[in-house]
Amino acid sequence: MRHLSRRTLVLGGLAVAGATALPTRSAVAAIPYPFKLGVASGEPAPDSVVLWTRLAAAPLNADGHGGMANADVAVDWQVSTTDRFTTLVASGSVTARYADAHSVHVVAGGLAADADYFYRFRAQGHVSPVGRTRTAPAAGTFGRDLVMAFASCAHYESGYYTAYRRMAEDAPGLVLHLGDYLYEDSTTAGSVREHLGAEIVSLADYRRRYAQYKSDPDLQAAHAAAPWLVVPDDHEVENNHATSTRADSSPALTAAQWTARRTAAYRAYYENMPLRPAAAPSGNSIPLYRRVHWGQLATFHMLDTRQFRADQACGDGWKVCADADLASRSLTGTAQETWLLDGLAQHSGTWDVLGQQVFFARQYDAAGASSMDAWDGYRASRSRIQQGWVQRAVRNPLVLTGDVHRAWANDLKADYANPNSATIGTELVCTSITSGGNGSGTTTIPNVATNPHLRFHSDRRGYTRTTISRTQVRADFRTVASVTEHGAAVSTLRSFVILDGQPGLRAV
Amino acid sequence: MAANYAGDFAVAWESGGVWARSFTAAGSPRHTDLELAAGGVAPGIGIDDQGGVALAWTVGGTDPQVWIAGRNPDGTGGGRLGAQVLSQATAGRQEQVAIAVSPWSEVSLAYTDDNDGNQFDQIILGTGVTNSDW
Repeated sequence: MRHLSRRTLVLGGLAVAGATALPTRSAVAAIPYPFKLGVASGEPAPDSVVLWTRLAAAPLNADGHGGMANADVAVDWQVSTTDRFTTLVASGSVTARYADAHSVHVVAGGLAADADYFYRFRAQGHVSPVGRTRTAPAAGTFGRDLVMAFASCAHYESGYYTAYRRMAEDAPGLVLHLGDYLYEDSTTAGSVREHLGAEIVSLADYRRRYAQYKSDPDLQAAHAAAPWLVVPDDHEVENNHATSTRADSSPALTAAQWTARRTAAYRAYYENMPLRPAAAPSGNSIPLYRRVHWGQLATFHMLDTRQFRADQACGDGWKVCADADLASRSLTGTAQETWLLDGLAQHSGTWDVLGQQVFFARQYDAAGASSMDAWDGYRASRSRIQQGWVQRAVRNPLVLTGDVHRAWANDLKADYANPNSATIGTELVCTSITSGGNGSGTTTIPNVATNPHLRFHSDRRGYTRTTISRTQVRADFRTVASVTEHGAAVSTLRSFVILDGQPGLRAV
Repeated sequence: MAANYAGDFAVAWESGGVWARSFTAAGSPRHTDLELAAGGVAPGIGIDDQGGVALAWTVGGTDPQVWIAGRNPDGTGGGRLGAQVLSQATAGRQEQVAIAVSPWSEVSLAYTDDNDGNQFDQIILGTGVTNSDW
């Protein structure tokens, strides 16, 4: 051992030699690592999938640009059947632009149907983490049984994203996110962890908030595990907004400022989500409702219940409200309703899965009040859709819901006032990833006496995992006991099975 | 020993050479004991958020040198830094290497270097390598 009588700390590049010709970089000119928001994929088709990343060397910078200079950056991408990338199935190079907050949306095509792939990016001499993705089965084929997990409501301040990591560890083939991916509110001191900054209003604000959320390693792990299908709910813009009507005047905004806020929110949503370029915002809105075919196994009808809905009736909240029955009120808007029913009539998949946001089944409390923000506030709209799928002989309508920060499982009735009426569909409601904190653990079903079609309820955090096969859908309600501390284990609290051709829940 | 955000961890030790093994957060081993260098001593290890590891060690004798190698979570080496000598200058003694790996597989090392033989050591810090062969 030599004595260290003089120390010189020398900053120098590493000289690596050998058969693998590695680039030598000088630390003086080192460019910081840009893939700090991870990678993601989405919108699988039989021959293509979207690959996403966003360069951000300093994600939390207030200008929303993540510490990236105002210059284009070339981003290389690769797709392989192995995570060693020894042979490539597809590859290319795209340009990440400052105007897009250096986000990239690559449509990787030429892929085989119903196949698993790995992908990665390279930019500025750095290599991204590796993501796992897959394609959908070809039209007319069933492909493999699908493990599909769905989630919603991930308030950053409420706790850690343990549920996202456990979801990733299930190795799903597809993830649906039904909204409230991020929350717009300001910092609440004393939270498990805190939002940066005040309530978000500008494009820079939304970009930075997405960067804060997407810096989370558990969320990155979930995105890297499987392709996602995403739709927003209200908090991607502002709490309980209905199309262009605000729920309140907090913060105070002029009409022009409110339009600018919505525009900024939707632009930042597209920049930060693995959506196809066809879903890019146009003007002040963003075209989000769409169908994703999963061969003959399933069709995912992803809905947008914020941009076209009539204003909440009777001043929102839980109300006894006659206006909620008005035929003119719609949650989807007329065009989307027509599009939905036309798509259901096509019978392209055994399971018709409606990926949407707010509570669908009727839930009246003892006083006869119900949630004006949910489908109970738009009862004619719900009836048209339910009757529509009955008239079109839709075999297996399955409604997926988020929003309420609780897990539920509900039979959908032809006539909710008559418990003996036919069960004409099924609803699965995922609990929140974090919103609401650890929860009480209660499984007592609220209002079950007046709503016997409500079959399960839980107040714990987690997500719902479904296993979709030709003959049945199995739903596992997965929960974590704590989000205020790291590392909680996941367990299945309750499972149900829905049999092909027989809507409604069966306990297992 | 090194651990990542999810609690997955990896261990490197000296036992007639340099050995390593990776584990999940639950303590389940991901592969059997892996020997990286029969003549290596004093290893260090770092782990990234996807479970890739990078190891550094010293090969002793009259002309000690520092080495680095990367591994996948399953212990294989494909796609990672190949085992190689790592130093700005190889004459004289390079030893006492320490390694750290960021969540994104950026690798940093420090080691002592007396390549001019004057018995005063410099400390070399090296940055800017990613545990990937792309």
